[in-house]
Amino acid sequence: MDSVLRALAVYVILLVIFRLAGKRSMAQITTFDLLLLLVVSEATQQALLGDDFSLTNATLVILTLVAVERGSDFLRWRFRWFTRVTQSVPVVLVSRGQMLREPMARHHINESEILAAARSSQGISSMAQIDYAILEQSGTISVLPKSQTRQQ
Amino acid sequence: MGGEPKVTVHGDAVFQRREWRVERGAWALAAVLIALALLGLFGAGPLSWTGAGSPDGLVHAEYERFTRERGPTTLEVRIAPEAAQQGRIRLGVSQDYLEAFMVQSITPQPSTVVGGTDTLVYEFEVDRPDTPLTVTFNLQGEQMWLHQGELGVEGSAPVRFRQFVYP
Repeated sequence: MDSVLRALAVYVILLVIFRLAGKRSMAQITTFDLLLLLVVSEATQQALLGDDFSLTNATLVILTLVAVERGSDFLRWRFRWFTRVTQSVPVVLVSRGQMLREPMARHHINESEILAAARSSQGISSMAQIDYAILEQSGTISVLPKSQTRQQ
Repeated sequence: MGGEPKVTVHGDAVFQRREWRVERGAWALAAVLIALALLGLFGAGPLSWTGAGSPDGLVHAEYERFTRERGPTTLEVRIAPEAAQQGRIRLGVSQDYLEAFMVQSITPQPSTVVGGTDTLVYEFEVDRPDTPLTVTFNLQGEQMWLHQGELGVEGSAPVRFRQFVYP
C-alpha cells in the first residue's frame, strides 16, 4: 500500500514543482540541467523507496509511476483542460516576422535564443527569415521559415 | 498515387493490432496489481494486517501476513498481566523465526535475553501488575517465502502464525 502511495505522492510533487517552474525549466538539456536532473533523482530516491529495498517495493513503485503517467496521458488525450493544467499551451513568440515582446519577456526568452533555435532546426541565420516562432508545451522553440509558409 | 512521394515504411498492421491488444491487457493487469497492492497483498494494507492469540488469551500477536525481503515490518505482542511471574514476563520466540527476520530493535528493551535450544527467551520486568505489556519488535525480512513463527510465555500454549516474505 505505502509503495503505491509514496510513488503517487512523489509524482504529484514533481509534477507541481516542474509545472510551476515553467516550460523552460528543463527544455534544453545543458550540462548543468543534466546534473540537476541527477541530483533531483538522487534526492527523490529515498522518498520513493523508504527503507524498503526489496524487489517487490521497487517493482510496485515503478509500476505505479508508469501507470500514473499512462493514465495522465489518457486524460490529456480525452480532456483538453487536463492538458492545459498539466502541460500548459503553446505560445507564439514571433508572428509574421515580428517579435512579440510580452510573451518573450514572460518566458525569459531573448532574440538570441530564438535565433539559436532557428539555426539548429532550420539553418536560418537572421530574424528576417523567420515567419513564426512558437514556444511549444515541451519547452522547445519551433521555427517556421518565411519561404516555407509563403509557399502554401 | 498521383505524384505523391513514395514512403517506405516497414509496417505490419496485423502485428500492430496484436501489439495493441497485448498492451491493453498489460494495462488492465497493471491496474489490478496496483489495486491489490493498495489493498495490501504485497505488504502493508488491510489484506496484510492480522493478528493471532494463544488459546488462553494470555498472549496476542499482531503482525503482517505479507512482508518483504530487506523491508521493515513490526510484530506487536500483547501479554496479559497474569503471565507475569515475580514481576517478570518471559517471552519465548522460536529461533527459526528469528533466522527469517532480523530483529532491529525491541521496545521496551528486554532486561535479559537467554538462548535456548530452539527458542530465544526475552525477559521483561513489569512494575504494574494490572496492565498488559506490549512489546514491539521492529524486524527486517531476511529470508524469502513462507515462515512460521511461534511465541509464547511459560505455562501457556504458544501463538503460531505464518508470514510470507516477498523477494
